[in-house]
Amino acid sequence: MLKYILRRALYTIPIALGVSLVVFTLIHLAPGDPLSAVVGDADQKMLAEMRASFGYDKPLPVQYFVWLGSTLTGDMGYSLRSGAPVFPMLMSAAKNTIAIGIGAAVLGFVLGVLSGLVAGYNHGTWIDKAVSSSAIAGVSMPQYWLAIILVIIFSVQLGWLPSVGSGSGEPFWSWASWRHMVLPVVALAAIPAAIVARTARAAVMEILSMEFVEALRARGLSERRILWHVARNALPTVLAVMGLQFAHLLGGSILVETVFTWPGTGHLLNMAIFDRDVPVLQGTIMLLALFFVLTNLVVDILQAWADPRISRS
Amino acid sequence: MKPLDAPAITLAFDTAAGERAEIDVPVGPGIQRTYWQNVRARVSRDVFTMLCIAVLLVMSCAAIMAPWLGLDDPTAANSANRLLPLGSAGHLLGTDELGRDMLSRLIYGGRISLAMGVVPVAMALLIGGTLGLIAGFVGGRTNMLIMRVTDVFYAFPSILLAVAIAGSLGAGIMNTLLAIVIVFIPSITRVTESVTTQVRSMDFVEAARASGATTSAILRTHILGNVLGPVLVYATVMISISILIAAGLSFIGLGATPPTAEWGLMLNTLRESIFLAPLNAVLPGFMIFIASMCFNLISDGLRSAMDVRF
Repeated sequence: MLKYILRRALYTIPIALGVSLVVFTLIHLAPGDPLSAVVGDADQKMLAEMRASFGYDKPLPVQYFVWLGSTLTGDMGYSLRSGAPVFPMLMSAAKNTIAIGIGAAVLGFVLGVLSGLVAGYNHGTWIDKAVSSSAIAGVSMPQYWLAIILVIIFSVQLGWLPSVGSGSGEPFWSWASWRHMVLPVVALAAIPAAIVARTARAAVMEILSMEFVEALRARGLSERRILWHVARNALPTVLAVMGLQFAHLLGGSILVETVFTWPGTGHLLNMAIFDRDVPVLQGTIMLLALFFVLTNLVVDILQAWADPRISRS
Repeated sequence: MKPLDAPAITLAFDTAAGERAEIDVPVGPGIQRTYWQNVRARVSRDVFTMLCIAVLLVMSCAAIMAPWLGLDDPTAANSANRLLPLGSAGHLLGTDELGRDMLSRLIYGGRISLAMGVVPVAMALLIGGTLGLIAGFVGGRTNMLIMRVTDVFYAFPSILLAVAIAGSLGAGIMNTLLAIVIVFIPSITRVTESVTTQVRSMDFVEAARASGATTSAILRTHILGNVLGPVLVYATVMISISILIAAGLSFIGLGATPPTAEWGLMLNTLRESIFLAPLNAVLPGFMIFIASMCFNLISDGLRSAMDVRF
């Protein structure tokens, strides 16, 4: 078991290095100099000086290793647009994204598990059909479209909830600040809820067909106790799927954050793309990808812990 | 004797019946069908799947024939007719924020949006499928190399990778296409590789080799025949994802550029009109939703018709 965890954790290192190489290559594939897009038609001497100060005059492999080295020490350079250090910018954006990410994960998980359990247990009934078709609709729905519909209903028509931003400095633990999160959280939760519901339903149906359920029935357990056993057995699979969904959620929140101008990593990434702000761009993509890699690692380890057969193979 | 195109693997892998297996085709002593004929018969009995295929056929036919349908020019602005409501005379689905006919723009928009579902997946299938076949069939170091590179690309959430690629290359529909192809190659490579590796070590491949079948014959009949089913099911889901990602990229300004009619871009430009004409603003998203859902449902139908499990 320990050997498996170690091996799995060590494998993360080459993956992370590969990811950093891909991120770097991608951004430097772009035509043109990152500075000339920002500075514009400044005089050539100034441009050359700035290029040297940012290190853009060195050959690309050298730039890569310099960037990798400084990123590892938490120094991600300065924004070309505002001149602010990138790392604190990223951290405050990440905090906002994680806030709605956790909200969406919890909402999606609870909704998905409950409806999946009920649908799987009542396989073939109208409840099952309703849950299954909502789940199909949930995975087919463009999140940004759902976000717009939510804004139309709850902000424009009913006027209950704000449609943009994250409020203006209210304390975090207050309704005044939380009401800004409601719509982004609901829009983000649709996909995880649908995927968790489908997974939970399939897992419950599979477990219900196992012999031990028959044995429990034969021993005279009430249906409620049986459902409890089934749910406990389905949990590892569902948890693993949820873990991956959480990581996808943070990476994919760019579209929803754009609709709500929510000041998270997605919004930061979007602005960095259109400003061609290379240090911010590199930092944001790297952070999100690394988070994804680490979540995968944690999910794999948790799964091996829940099901020891995995680590032995 | 079994017909050549009958994938033995679907029988070998068939440990549990598919969810919609109740849609069964009559089997009798007089009826002899190949595997694919069986699949087609099951699909044609599946009302949901057939309905979705019909909807998509209507949508794509309309998109392809758009110039000959007598529609208004999709890019002709008319400031006098801005944001007309649905059901207006001459504009059945109203007009957008620049007075352009919504019906015409939605039909023309389907050309790019639907193509951006099918084309990237087809290209990724070709490239990723080849890579997966090579990795699975050759094995050894070649497999290691291909699969490790795949792992790296797999380490990105798909939307993030697509945004990163399209963002670096700049706006434009060709860059979106390239971005989605790169996003999809790793997962197709993985599916193809795992099925190929499994099939390769099966007894019937060993038997074929022993009886003197050439490598290309084994590849063609046994490997390809068995890989096709799972990959086809997977590809239909990917078309639905591809439509969502492509429209999403256009929505944040990275895909199609104005004044092109494209569903994601339309949704974006109509966003400012949600106060005046909410129904008009929602329509392009509805098209994305329907197209994407139809492909998802077809994939479910194919999955149970083929009894694919992965």
